[in-house]
Amino acid sequence: MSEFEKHGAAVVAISVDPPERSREIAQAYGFTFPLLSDAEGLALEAFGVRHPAGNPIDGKDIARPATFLLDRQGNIVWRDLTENWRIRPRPAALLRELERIP
Amino acid sequence: MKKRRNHLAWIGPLVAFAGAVSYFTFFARFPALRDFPWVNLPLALLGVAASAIAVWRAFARRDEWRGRIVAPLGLGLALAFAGFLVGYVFFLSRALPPPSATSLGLAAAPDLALTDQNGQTVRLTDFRGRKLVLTFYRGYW
Repeated sequence: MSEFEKHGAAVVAISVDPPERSREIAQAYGFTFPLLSDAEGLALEAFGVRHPAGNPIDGKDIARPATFLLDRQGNIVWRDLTENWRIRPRPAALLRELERIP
Repeated sequence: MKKRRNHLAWIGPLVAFAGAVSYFTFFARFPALRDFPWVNLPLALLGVAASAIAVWRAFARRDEWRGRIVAPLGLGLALAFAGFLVGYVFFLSRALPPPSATSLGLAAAPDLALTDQNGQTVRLTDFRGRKLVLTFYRGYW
């Protein structure tokens, strides 16, 4: 995390989990960055990352894994939309991309 | 003649089980071993191979080895564990909708206000002036 801060970058994660669940997860893993709750799917819709009925337990919509890098003005300058939810961009790759953002 | 105990009959499914389960409980934490199961796939296959040897012994060398009931059961179990791992890693986790036109075409991040884990409202525009890594995850439900 401090590596990201060194690059002048904040980290924010979004899921459909309720804030209470995010709190448990943040405590369990020691996450200090915001885990935002998008229970109503506003962000899923706005970013086009809805995975309809992706929750195998209750059949509700969830987020499809995706990572966006924003520059200081809020423009999306890089994105990763994995085709396999096990495979996410590695932190080193994200840091490399952040380096290229002025 | 007393026949030998066919220990591979139970070692095989045990190894395959360990190979499948330890992916989720441990090895998936390491990106290199998560993206491709370099540890877990060989373990699971090793378990299947051990079970196959047990079955071969029990039937082709039936005068020498025991386990004509246990070994096939073990092979079935080992195949089920290995199949589960392969199914999850190579098929199930690809079951995602294709990237939407919206997600590929967005130029600027939409502004949104969402609640964080401490109950605070966070706007995406709060991060203007800094670079932002914005990651969507499936969630823990």
